[in-house]
Amino acid sequence: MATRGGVQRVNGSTQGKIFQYKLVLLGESAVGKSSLVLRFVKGQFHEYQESTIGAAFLTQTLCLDDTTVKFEIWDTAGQERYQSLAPMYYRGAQAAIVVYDITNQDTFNRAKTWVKELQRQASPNIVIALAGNKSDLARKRAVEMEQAQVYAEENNLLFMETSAKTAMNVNEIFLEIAKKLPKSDQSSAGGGSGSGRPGVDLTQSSQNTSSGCCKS
Amino acid sequence: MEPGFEDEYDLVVIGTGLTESIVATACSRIGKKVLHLDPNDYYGDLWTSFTFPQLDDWARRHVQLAGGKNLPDNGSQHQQQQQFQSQHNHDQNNPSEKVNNQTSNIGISLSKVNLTAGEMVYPWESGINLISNVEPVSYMINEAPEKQDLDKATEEEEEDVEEADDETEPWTFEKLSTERNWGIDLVPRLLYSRGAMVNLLVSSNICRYLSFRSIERILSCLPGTDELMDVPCTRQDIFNDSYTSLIEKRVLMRFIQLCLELERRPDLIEGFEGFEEQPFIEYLRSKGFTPLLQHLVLNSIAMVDPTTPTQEAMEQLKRFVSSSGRFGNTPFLFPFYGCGEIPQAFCRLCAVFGGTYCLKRTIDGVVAKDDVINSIIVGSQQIKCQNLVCSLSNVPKSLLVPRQVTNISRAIFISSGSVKDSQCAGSLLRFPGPFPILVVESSWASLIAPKGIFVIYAWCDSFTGNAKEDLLPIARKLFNFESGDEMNGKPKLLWSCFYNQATVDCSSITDKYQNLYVTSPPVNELDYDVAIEEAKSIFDTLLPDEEFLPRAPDHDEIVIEGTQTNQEIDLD
Amino acid sequence: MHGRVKVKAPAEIQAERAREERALAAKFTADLDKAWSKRSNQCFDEEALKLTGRILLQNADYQTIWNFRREIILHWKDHGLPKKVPEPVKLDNCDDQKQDLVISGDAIGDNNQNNDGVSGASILEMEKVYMEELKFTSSCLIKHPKSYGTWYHRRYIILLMQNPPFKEEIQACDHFLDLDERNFHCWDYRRFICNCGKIDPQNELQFTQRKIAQNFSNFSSFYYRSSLLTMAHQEKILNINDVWNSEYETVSNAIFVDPNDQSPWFYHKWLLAVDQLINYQHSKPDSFIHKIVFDKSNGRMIYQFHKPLRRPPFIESSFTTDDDQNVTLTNIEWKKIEPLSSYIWYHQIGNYSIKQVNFNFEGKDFAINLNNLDSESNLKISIVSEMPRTNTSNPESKLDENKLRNLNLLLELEPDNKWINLTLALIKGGPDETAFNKLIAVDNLRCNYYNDQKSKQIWESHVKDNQLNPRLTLNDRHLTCLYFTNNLTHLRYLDLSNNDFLKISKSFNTLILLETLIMDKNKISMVDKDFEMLSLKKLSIKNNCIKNFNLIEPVKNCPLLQILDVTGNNIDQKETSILPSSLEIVI
Repeated sequence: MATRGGVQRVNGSTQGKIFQYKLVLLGESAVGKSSLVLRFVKGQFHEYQESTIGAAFLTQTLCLDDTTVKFEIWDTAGQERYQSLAPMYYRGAQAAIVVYDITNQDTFNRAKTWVKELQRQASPNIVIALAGNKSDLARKRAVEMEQAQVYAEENNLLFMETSAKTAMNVNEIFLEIAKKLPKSDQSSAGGGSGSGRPGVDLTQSSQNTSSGCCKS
Repeated sequence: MEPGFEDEYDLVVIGTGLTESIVATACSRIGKKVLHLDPNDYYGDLWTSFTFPQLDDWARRHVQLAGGKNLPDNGSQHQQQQQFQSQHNHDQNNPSEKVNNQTSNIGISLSKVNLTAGEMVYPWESGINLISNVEPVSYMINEAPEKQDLDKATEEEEEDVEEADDETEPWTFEKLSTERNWGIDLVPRLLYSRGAMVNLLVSSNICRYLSFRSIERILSCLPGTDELMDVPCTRQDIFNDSYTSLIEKRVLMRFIQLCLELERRPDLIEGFEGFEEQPFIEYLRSKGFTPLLQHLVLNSIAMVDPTTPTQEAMEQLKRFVSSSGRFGNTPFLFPFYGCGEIPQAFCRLCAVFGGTYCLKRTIDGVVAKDDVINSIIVGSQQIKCQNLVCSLSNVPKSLLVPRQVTNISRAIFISSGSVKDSQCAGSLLRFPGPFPILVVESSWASLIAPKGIFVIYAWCDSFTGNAKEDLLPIARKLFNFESGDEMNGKPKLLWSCFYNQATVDCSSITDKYQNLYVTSPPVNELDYDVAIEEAKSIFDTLLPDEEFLPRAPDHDEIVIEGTQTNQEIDLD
Repeated sequence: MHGRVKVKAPAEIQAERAREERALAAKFTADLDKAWSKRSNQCFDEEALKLTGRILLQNADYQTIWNFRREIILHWKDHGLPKKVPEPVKLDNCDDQKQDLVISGDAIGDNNQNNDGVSGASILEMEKVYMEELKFTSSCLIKHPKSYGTWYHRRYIILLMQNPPFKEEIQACDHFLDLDERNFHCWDYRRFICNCGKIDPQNELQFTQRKIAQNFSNFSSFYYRSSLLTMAHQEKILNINDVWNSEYETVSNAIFVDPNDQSPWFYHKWLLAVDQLINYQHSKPDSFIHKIVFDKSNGRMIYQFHKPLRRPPFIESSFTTDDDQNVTLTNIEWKKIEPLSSYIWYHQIGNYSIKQVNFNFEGKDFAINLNNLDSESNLKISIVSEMPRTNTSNPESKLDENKLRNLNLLLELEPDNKWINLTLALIKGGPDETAFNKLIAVDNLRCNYYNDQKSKQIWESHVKDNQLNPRLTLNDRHLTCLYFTNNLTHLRYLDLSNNDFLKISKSFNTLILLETLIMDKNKISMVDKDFEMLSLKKLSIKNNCIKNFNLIEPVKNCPLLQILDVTGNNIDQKETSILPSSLEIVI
């Protein structure tokens, strides 16, 4: 009953199938996590984007050949600012983008901490991408691309430098993640709050009003 | 390095336990500016879910704080209820990870504090410790050095450790410590499918952050034996049950239908068939319930004492029956990853609506004029706030009026087998008595433990004053303490921990500041009704004209500032 | 205002949804247009299949599109698979398509010489296509689990396949029945697969057990189980009596948990009658001839059989008369009572008095002596064979004391439950009218059914007692209908006055020798139009509810009828001309 969003799970063909994944964004404040998502989902960028009250959860659908990948993208809601992100945030996430700001070495160090945290706490099969954001500010670069590249290879991460402002590599990084995610029925049933775990999803509860105990 | 907080908040909340989190979220949700702090490095306070190493660490710290080894108390001298003053001898050694030099912090920053006429600075000392009599024991090889023995019988069985079905290696302390996916609750709960918490999660739309598993069975210990039976609670259960006779099936089913009917026709319960104030057991006897049925209905379905007035028992039954079959066979749900997810879900919504979160931080002092707190001091920052909400353990002892406390005995058992059959995803078991004991079994199926591991919780109002003395007899019924593998089909213990947790109703526990609200520690209840009620009442006092947790909009209902709603990007 | 979330207006959300729906609808129409044009051009390429797929996923009951899909597949089977067309496909006309085929030349199956498009695809290739079809129907069924067209297509594909994946199909059924345990399409399909795939009935028995444990209110599971048990018993896979007790225990549990649920009661009824139902097909009387009656008054030989015969039993016979004459009859002119198969066959023999009849029936020679029934009826009779009655065919014997006591306890607990009342009434048998009267009181909607059941029991007890008495009187019994007529064929006189008959039905036709029928003081308002009693001379229907003669006109079908007594009826029109003038009508 917890299959949400029309995820099909009978031995059907992959034709027209929608795979749903929970994707989380991690990284220091102000590295541009929300901007990346807004660029990806809404195609927009605002220089002084304030975090939007009430919205820390967006969805976007990508078409890959025969299959459709739907990302449920979770934003940190600012809880990372004082290193106080709740662990529930990355529970069941099948993908994560760890973002740093290429003009700020500290944010890269912090990104490494996040990668470690994910490797320690998140699902072992999680697909992690490292995004060096603000590549449009290359003249203020503080983190060398090679440095990040080497780190990413050592830790088996996808890596791209991105710019939410110019849209460079934004769609691409999501697309690469979508390609790397497993497409078996099991994989999409494995995870986030929106996926088909054999659990109870209370968001569906309005439809579930009959008391099954004593129908007559 | 860390950015400072803003200079003014509508509400400052200390402690991320459930009650405080609900208050914080409710205020943030309707547009109030909330700063939410917790001296711990984890969310949830006592309402948290720990990993195994965290739990082990927590237990050891409490043992140390209590003066090294917990010496067995003389049980006969214990009173069931104690005074704060006598119980919390170790207040100075509060185990929560507070920065210890708060007073000096205040000293340093005092000069920077802006005081207006009549305002005074008061240091905010660490609060009281609610946990006592902590006794962790490991039964595994390679265990930690400071092993303690539950009793003599367990000393000899270090060699044989039961293995999980598909594991070739026995579980070791080391192995448990390195496993991920733990969510062990200090204060485990179950949710009625139509209970207050489920209703609140659905109406507020916070349920989208959570996912639950239905508790698959309710167990009952057959009187006079150690045998556990599945309690038939739905029509289909009663059909499949092998303990009850045909006639018993009919009588029980009829009774359950009557309970459902009560939901549709509340008038029936008034003066219930003349049994209104009569003991429930009398009612059951008069209706021809066999001893087995009496036992099941009283102890496992209504979960009341035999002397409970019939009308009250029927209300309990109504609650049970109306929640049955909504999501699964039993009326109960358990959150994936543990109950600690629930306060986190509230906090997330609070953050989504602009609440500021900071762990490992508490306030160092308050600036007050007479009985009103005007601002708080955090580190070197002075922050104006209109109200302060604090969990009991974060309130300085000096502000509290003496109170009788209730002592709850709790135990956590980690086992590689279920108390009955091994494939089950969750069980509830209640041992009746003057101090009834609740047992909840959860497992890796709820993603709270590594594959093959079961976590069994037990708790009751303390009657000896010591958790181990209260709960050990039950542990002996459920687990195998003798040497030799799987004696009596009972599972073997890997690790256990007994502890006592104090609780008290905090609604008027301090009269020092009129804009300080103290939330109560967890009480002995199965669902969250008391906590929700308390949070709502604080919220209603703070904001009498505002709606309590209105439904949060879904993402596709929200206008993202600066974007047009109908713009789509084409990725092909 | 500070911190308030901005929410779209409901109209805005609605408009968004409407936009999405319009886009979807436009795509559907476009697909449909393309599909039509392909079909009219006999274009059976891969895109055609994809088009039908998209359309059917939206609307799984579009029969013509399913037909087109099958045409495509059959075309591939006969003419080979189409070549893969490089994407993007942009074809409005199929001549271009052929061009493309030649150019691209990358065939799906290159192990087959299908370039000329004449020889068909290989079996292997087609099996792959069929497997994809099965998967495709699964996708459709997720969206439209009760689509006739989809289930039909799935069967169609299975029948085309050389090696259908029966095991996987059973699993698919498991899945769809988990989603909806009452999906009769899926139950039917499951039986179809079990039949084709020779699935072990034990496997299916376990399946039904699981389904019943999940929900005992689902009669589909019980019904399937009963047919599986019957089949397993007949094929000697198990003996029904070995599992009977555990089956009974299961169904009792269900009945006690919910006595208002009809599913387990039906299964209960089946269990009690199971011997009869299963043994009936196996039990054979010594002969299928039940009895032979010689009607001296009308010079008629009447044969009654245990099974309905479609064709004449034999064409010649010989007999010995009372004065020891031997007469042979050839080319017997048979007549029968029912229009098609009939239990009763008869023929005229002329003016003889017969004491023995000889014939060959079903390869066996018979020499039957006929004895006078009594002095006045002018009938000679011989009971050739009785249907064997096994002891176990009596439901009560299936129930030991304990089980009966439990049922009676249930009655005590649920005195107003119709099912327990009905079951006990039927088990007890005999003319226990109080049980039925109670049923009529608690379940008045079905009073006619209960009245008929009551009548049946009364008849049963009297037919047993009146085996060879040509006269039968049953008054004041609230009878509503006639039962066990096959055992009443020897009657000359029947008095059913003071009962509750509403009409004279054609079931009376079986009383082939009856000369006098008294049905005074009933509630008769009409006579069935097929009513035709061969020997009837006197019919008395005084004090009934007959309004006019049109309603009883069929009495004229009775060739020997002389007296019709209709006094005491409120007949508004005294015109009797529609009835034969020879008939003496008492008004």
